Amino acid sequence: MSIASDIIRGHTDAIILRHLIERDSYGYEINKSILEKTNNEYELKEATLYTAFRRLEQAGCITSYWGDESTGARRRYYSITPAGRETYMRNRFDWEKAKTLIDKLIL
Amino acid sequence: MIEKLKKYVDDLFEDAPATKKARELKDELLANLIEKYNDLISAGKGEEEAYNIVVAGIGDLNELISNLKEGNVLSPEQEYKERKRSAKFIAAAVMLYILSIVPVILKGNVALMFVFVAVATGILIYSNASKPRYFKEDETLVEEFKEWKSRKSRKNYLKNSIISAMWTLIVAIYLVVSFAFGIWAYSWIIFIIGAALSQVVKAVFELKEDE
Repeated sequence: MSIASDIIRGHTDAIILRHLIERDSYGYEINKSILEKTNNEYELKEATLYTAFRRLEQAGCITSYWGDESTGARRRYYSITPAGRETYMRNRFDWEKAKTLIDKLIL
Repeated sequence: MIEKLKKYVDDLFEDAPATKKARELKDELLANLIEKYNDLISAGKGEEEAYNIVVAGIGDLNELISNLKEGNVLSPEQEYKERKRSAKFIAAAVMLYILSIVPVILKGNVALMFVFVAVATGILIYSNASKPRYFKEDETLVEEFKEWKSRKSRKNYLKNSIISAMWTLIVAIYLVVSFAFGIWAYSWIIFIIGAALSQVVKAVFELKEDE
């Protein structure tokens, strides 16, 4: 599991962007969907998640805004920008290429 | 238990700078943690267990928090560019001031001298007015001070430009008038007038600052 989670952590940005392509979202929701998609096998640390948000925001891949929840704490939503979509496509291409190469080398 | 969670997050941000960015990160984190905690409780976890799961999931925030301390609006690169830009303007203005005497010496053309001086002063004022300002990043005292300092140095720059342009002009007028009319005995009075004028300029700037 530890090698797998190292590899996954290297693709945090792509994972977040992939989620935001569907709809605007906030930290916990993204993490919850990661947990669901991996059958509770993988979850991002909050620190990793927010570091990635800041990095993506600075790179112009995502923008953020505060939700208007009437009760409880306010959520900070993120939405993807056209530059973010481009970055996602590039990451996806890189991953597919790496996957084929690693398959050839290991299997 | 939610209070305990809040306390835990407060402690995490104890060393964080008191900036808007840090506060926002804290609010965002807390909102997400509380929602996660509530979900765990709904899923049938005990309060203590849910709290432990939430806290264990945070990870190491140190790097993120220490990154909040950095970040200026004007990066060193921008500052270097800006310095180069204003150096060019000032060099051009000074050259015009010096050349402004040439038409007077060659043709006794005083009007052209004033045109030179006017253009040079215009360049100085433009260079100052188009300087990028420092805008405070958030509501902390440090940021307010930086903005105030930037505003003040802009004003000083304008004041000094005007005063130095004025003195150059005074010397030029003194020489021209004295040579042209041969009134060396009286023309020195212009320097006393100049001293008075420069005090007036300073006073005007100080009055504006008080407003």
